[in-house]
Amino acid sequence: MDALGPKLLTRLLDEHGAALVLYAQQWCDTPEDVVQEAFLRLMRQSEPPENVVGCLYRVVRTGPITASRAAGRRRRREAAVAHRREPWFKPSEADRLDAAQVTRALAELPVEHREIVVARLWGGLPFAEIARLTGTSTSTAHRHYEAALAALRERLGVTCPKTNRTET
Amino acid sequence: MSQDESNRDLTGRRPDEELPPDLKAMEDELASLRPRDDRLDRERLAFLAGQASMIGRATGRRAAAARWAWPGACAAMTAVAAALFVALFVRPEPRVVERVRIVKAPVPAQVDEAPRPDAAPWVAEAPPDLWRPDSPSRVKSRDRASRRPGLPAQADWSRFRSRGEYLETLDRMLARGMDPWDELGAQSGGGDQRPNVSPSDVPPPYREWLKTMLDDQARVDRPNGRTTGPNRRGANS
Repeated sequence: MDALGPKLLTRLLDEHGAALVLYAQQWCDTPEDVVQEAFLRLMRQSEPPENVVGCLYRVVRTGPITASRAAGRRRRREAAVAHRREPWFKPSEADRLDAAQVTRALAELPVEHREIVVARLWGGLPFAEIARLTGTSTSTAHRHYEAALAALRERLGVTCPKTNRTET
Repeated sequence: MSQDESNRDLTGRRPDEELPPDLKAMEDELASLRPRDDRLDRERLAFLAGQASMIGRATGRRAAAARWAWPGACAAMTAVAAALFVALFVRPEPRVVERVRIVKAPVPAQVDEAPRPDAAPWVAEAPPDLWRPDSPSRVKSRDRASRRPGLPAQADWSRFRSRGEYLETLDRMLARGMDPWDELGAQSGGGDQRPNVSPSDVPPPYREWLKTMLDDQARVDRPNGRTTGPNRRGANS
């Protein structure tokens, strides 16, 4: 592994593996296979790409979508994935939010919004990269992100700290 | 520095990327959740990644040849097998050539005029003038045959060049009859194997003629108290 050594692979897996699986889960039922194939395609390249993380997200995004390119099939698949009750997050006692509840709330979002939220929140991608991924402008990506956060806040019933201070 | 980069603050965000406080709090709450990391088989992925990196490293013409060697050989063998399979059904039927080959019986060697001491007894002890056209035996036989109606006046012994030819002709006549001679003579080229007796010269009842000839021969031999071979043969035939 000259181009991408084992250390880099381990680091990528540690930092982005789980987020990539979550990102791939927005489109397919077998996100582990998609992420594994993305890593393998990356390792087969003789020269590493400039933006390794962005390349991984692109491959993860295009893999399932290419497999189910037909719009109808894609919609049915997304609906099926969205209604799966398998938790997407690790349960934690310290979290104020319930992982299963967040999963349900995310699943009810449109896939365009879900994709941006996952890539931004857990993938840590900048909006410019998200815009490249989704094929939109940065402003559009940001606007969708805000709308998705507002919808999640409403569905999860999280109160704004400022509003709390105002009330108290 | 581009316009896009100049608009960014120290945190790398542009001003329009700033979130309202309520959404910022929501973002922080959501970011505190950790995606499940137990779904990827890291060991398997590391192993496959090592394999993939070796494939990626093996580039160039040699690597391509090594990669396509076995598939190419397999494809070539498959093509050969398919071609042989097709040829098995398409090939023409084997041509059967039937040839009729007539094998002639071995011809005895030319016999001298004088009988050899080790010849058959009836040949060796036959009167020496039997084979001459003007021998008394032949004249006698000719006279007897001329008195029979429908038979030739005389058996033309002069047509036989030698005793060997006579014996050969006699054997053939006894074995085959007279009819196949034309065909046999034509196939053998009409050469010296054919006696100078043509079927047209033979009177129609050739068996009668043959019997007469053999009877005459027997009568000639009878004073010696001996039964000759040709007579016995003629009786058998």
